[in-house]
Amino acid sequence: MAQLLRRIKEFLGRIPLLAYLLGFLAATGVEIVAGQAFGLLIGLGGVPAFFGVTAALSRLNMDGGLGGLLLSIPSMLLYIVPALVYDVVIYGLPTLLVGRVLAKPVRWFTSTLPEWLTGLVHMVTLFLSMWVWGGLVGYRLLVVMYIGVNIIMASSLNLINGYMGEFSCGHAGFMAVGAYVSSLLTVWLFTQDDVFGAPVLGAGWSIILFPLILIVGGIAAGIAGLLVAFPSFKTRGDYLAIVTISVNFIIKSAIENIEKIGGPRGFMGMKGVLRTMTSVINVPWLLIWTFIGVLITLVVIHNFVSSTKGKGVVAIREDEIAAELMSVNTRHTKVLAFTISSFFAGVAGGLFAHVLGYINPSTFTIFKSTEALVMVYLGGMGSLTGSVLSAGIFTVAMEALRPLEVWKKVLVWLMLILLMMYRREGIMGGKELTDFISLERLGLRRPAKEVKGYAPAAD
Amino acid sequence: MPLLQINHLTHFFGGLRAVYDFNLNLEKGELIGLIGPNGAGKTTIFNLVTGAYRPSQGDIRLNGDSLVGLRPHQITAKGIGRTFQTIRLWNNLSVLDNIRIAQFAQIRYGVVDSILHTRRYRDEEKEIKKRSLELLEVFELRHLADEIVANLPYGQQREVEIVRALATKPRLLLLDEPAAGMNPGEIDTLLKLIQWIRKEFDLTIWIIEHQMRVIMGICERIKVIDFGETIAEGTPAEIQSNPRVLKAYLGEEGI
Amino acid sequence: MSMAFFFQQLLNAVQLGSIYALIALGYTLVYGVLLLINFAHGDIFMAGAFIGYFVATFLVGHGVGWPWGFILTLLFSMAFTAMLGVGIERVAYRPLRTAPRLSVVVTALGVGLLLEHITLGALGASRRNLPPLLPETWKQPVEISILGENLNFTWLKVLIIVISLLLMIILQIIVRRTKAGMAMRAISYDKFAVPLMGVPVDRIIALTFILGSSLAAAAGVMYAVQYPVIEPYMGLLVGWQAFIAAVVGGIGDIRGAMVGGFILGFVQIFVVALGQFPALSFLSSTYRDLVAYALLLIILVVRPTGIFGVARRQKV
Repeated sequence: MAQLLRRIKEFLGRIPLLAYLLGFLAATGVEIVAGQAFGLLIGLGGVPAFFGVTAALSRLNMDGGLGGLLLSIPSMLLYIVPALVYDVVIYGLPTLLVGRVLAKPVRWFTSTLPEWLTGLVHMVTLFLSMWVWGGLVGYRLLVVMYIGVNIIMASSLNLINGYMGEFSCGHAGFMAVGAYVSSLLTVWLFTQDDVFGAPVLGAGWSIILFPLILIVGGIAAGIAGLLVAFPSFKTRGDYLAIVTISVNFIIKSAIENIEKIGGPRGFMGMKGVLRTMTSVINVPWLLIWTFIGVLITLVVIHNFVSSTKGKGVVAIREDEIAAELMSVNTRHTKVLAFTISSFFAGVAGGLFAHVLGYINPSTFTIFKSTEALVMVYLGGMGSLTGSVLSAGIFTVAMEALRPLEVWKKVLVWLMLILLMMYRREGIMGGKELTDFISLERLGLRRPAKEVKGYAPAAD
Repeated sequence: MPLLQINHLTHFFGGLRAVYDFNLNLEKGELIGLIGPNGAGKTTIFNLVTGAYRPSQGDIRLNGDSLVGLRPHQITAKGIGRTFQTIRLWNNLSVLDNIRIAQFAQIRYGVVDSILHTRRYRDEEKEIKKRSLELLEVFELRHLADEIVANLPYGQQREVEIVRALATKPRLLLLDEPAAGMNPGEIDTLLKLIQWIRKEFDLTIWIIEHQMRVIMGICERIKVIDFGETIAEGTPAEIQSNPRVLKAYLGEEGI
Repeated sequence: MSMAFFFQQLLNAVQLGSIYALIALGYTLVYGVLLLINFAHGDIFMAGAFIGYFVATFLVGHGVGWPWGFILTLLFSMAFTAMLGVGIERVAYRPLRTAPRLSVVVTALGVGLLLEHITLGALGASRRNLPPLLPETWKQPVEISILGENLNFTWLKVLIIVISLLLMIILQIIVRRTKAGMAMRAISYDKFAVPLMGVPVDRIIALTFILGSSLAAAAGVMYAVQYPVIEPYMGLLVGWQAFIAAVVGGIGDIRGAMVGGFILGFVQIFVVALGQFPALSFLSSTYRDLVAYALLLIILVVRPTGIFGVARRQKV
């Protein structure tokens, strides 16, 4: 048995990441051609939206009490079996097959490219597979974009809670600032709206200005982040947690009190912005910007915390007083950390608002903040890849568990408590994914002997 | 002009007088000691000099510039490095990172540089890393550069802390009970190390010690405080025969 | 401002403040002993109100009326909620007593949200109303004339204030005069030495949760009698206000919790009351929470230890 496992591991390990991605792309092709027919054949009624997970769980009967729930379990199991067959036949086999076949050519191909180009090729392939796979069922695209938004939320919060060791529980407040500022701008500039009237700029501008507006939303959120940064000079620990929570409440309450932008009823019209953008060039703009947003977030945070300047953040976590006495300008560092963190929360908010097409203040309560916390602690404090993983797992789980309604939340908070009790270091235990699988192995970096020139001092 | 000049330094914690009318002129290149029984206020004086506390009264000048009111990292950047009574390294970071971060004040690049990996960033980081490794090399700790500090034995942590203090490029080095927890053999090595550092890095050194015999050998001048007040000052020989010191200090060690 | 109007608002403020104070005491007691901000405490208050609702429904359904219906509801709710509080401490907090402080705080936050959503899942989001425990006339305004001014009040408000004060006095007696109370105060002074002196720390901590939770339950029942809204999120709304009160007064200090409760009651009632004047009409009732949180933020920045709190100096 152990022998078999080892051989499987070896087999999987020999395939570089790019080959997997291409394999998945091929699998998606198989799904486009044969998914519908195969799904009908094995009794799934068509292409399952999300590997059959959501559909399986929706067989559970949540309204008939415990008896009803138990009685509905067989019907769920009856769905799971064909769903598994579907996943293996449509996704698993083609991915592995194509991956295995392409393993060698891919390794050769990437070895001819400079490293940055290899990275780019990976990104483009990943994006294409998301696009094609997501394009098949609209709901998938939505989930992928939620994952992106959550990755930005979790990794930016990780900068504070993981790297700096403070306890911020008001991330949703900054998200709200970004969401409102960017939505107001786009709706004002690009759509016919009840509040703002006719669009101010031509449709063509929307394409160019959209990313800039996301950044403006981020800057606004970054400025709001100062509300936490300044108190953090004097207060820390649980007192700072209170500050963050009250900032969250204040932002939400302030938005509720501005009638002009909908007050407690919320604000909409962002779907119109999207229509304007696609009317110019018809590509999934939001998917593109979410994708790019995630990349930028991860690169910025990674580069920051691995620079000597950014490591001041970690020194604050380890011993703030020693940090200050050993020449680290702790105030400056805190302001930087909080600003960067809330900037990205704001960007996530802007994306989120446009994905959803509608926002209201009660979206951005302490519940949302705590969800971001759950993702950070699940992935592990101080681990960016952990945050990426946990944001993915968390978002998919939340979508899959949708049929459980309120009980889904109960599970989330229960998980938070259990994490604190039994695995405080999260799934990654403070390590990065690259500590387990090397970049060389993944095919993202050439083997050490070929590395020449500058290697980042940080690693 | 003395390197460090302390005039009438007084500090209260609430109603408690921790330091009273402390005066010191420290010339460049000197190696002096500050001793006194437990709770005499020695560490408080270091905390006042390095800016961790703001003095209630009095003045502290480095090369004639007043340090009072500056934040600790500014004072460190002006050239005062220190170690702590109980080791305060950044435990979950590597030895190299501990040394790198202590060069924070030398960073000239901005956040944007660090994010975009500009030439300026790369040059400075290369320099910082080079200097850190050189320092570690000098102390024969280079092979431990990637080790997590918490995993090192006590003695090596003490050394790393001294290296970290040196990384801040000090002119004046404050050592707070560097021999605490060491056995006689280790203490001998430490004393040699201190004298060697002083020459090698052209430093002025000020040592706090609780155990009097530790610094009798290396200090040129010793100040003794008790209950925040200076009770004696002089060469080791003078201190050893000073009746007030014997009473306040050696008396409790048991003659 | 007319005298009558002022008096009426004052009464409202004292009544709201005393409910805040009762809840705030729970935050403060736990913080004093465990140095833990028990974020779940607001939801203990919610649980108290719900338990009160079920007890009252049962009692009224079996023909128990005023005054026993009210008294028993109060007592049973306090007892059951105390059990819940102790249970939470036992299951969720005790295993983490040696863990880093922040993970306990995160746990507390999680426990609070868990309570909210379990209640939501099990009982639904609909608002519930306490069955009539008091004679209807107690809720009617009574007019008295003092110094030529006609002043309005209801006996219910008076009752709430009186019960709250009574409970606070009992708490003071327990904390000041009994051995257990003394042990409690001792622990808050020195966590490490007290166990060495033979004080049963686990029992004292349990007592702390019993006291805090039962006060919150009393507040929950009285809040439910006054305002007919029992719902899963009431802990988030009211509990947090009480938490602010505790911080304003200086968390960890019993007098602080009381004073803070009254201060917050005054601030909130008068923010709304001032909004009734044309010149200040922008101060609608929706500003109430905003003002409370702004107050909290200012206190935390200017004087994090609150009115009565003592600064804890960090040793270098």
